[in-house]
Amino acid sequence: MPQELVVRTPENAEIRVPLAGMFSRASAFVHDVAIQFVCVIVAHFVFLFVLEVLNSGRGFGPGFVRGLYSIAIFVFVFGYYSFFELYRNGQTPGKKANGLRVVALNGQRVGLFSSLLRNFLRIADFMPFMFLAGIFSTLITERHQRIGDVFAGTVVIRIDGN
Amino acid sequence: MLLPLIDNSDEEFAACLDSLEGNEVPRRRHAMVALERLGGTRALQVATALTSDVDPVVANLARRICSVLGKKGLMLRRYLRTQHLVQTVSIRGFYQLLDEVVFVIRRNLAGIAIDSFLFSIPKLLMVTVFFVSPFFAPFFDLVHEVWLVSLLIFVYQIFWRPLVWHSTGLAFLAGFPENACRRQARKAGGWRLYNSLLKVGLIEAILYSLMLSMAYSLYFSSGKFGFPLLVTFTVWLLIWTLSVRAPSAVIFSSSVKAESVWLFDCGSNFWLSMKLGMVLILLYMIVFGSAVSSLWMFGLDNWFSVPHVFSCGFFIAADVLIDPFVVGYRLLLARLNMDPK
Repeated sequence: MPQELVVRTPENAEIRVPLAGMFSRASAFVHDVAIQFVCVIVAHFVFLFVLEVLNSGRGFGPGFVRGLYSIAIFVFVFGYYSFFELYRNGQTPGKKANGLRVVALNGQRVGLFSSLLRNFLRIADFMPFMFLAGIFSTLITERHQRIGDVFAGTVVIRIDGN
Repeated sequence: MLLPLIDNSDEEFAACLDSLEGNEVPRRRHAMVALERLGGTRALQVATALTSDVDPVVANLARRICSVLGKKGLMLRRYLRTQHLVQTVSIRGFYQLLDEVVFVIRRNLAGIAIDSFLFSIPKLLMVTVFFVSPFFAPFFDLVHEVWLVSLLIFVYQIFWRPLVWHSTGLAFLAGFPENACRRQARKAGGWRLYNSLLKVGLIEAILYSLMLSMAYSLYFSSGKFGFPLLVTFTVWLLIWTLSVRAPSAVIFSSSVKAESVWLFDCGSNFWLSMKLGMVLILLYMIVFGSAVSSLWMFGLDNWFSVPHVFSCGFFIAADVLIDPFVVGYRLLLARLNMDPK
């Protein structure tokens, strides 16, 4: 029943992999956002503690720490997906829990540029509110790709076996 | 007369193929003669592939083999050609079940979109009335006539809803990968099916209309009165409604007898329906929020000057978009319950 990604090897063999649907992907996304949310909360408490220590003693100024904290949060939120996609076989914790994986259109591992592009374009998918553009894109593209996937040449597949 | 115990035609056939794959012209021509002598479907298959060979002798021999074997009644069955197996993946969770609904919708996206649009025209007219009402006094008075809107809801749910099931349901069925379901989608239909759907969905329609009318009147009279009661009733009805598989059973069986089967299966599908209810609330929020934020993005937020009227319009518009999904979900669930494989 599911639709498939067809990959042709140089030996002219055909490999068919089931594509992930939008609801499984949404579930994985919620999973990842929950993890990110917990991490950011913890980081915030650590930041408040560090700020308190700095206010009471010498060292770097609170402005510097605030700037560092903002950069760290930005890198964490945007780098989270790319890190797992590049170094954990295309699977963020949410995708792993849902049996999904990000791959390139030829079935190979996703590259650095593709990963960064697909994750930065989440903003486009989010438009106008709560990923409506992404939902429509997933519904009408041949390989269930959101806008980020279309531009990065990636696709999300199911790997939980038959 | 002694008959050979082992038929060596396989070896001969393999030798013919080896010769034909080579470049030596005499050996290829001999192989064709041997192939003609062997005959059979295999020879026909090979000869068919060689009718346009570069060697004219081989091509002529191939055409002759085809002609002779064709006169003997042999033919190539095209459907016996190698085909990839239809890949199936087990549905392991609730979200994969929802994914399958989307996959089936995608298989007949145009059909479902057209049917859904045509049979949503009453809803779209309502949306138009709600959106125009702040600028056109007669419409504004009209949407504040609670009894009239309630009457429209009743008429829609009781008489028009079976038509929606009839059209969108059959369009959804046409997107199933199984031939049996697609045949059913072509076979079922007409007045008889409408009649069955009308009867089987009557109680559901009345309860649903009551809920919507109550919600509408409470919303337009006093937004706070009886609100917890309304929410409880809505959740209960949603769970109950989404668990009823009678309309799906009627569509699948296309039998009048099926209407007497009241598949009230709230017990086994309770949590599934509860989850679907949550997903639907989220989907309504997405459509609603997207509409509002689009207005804001394009600088049209001053249109939102009468929020309670616009909210109703957006709610109905969201319902137009989400309804085919709900119909599809209930059909797929009924199909899987009928035959889990």
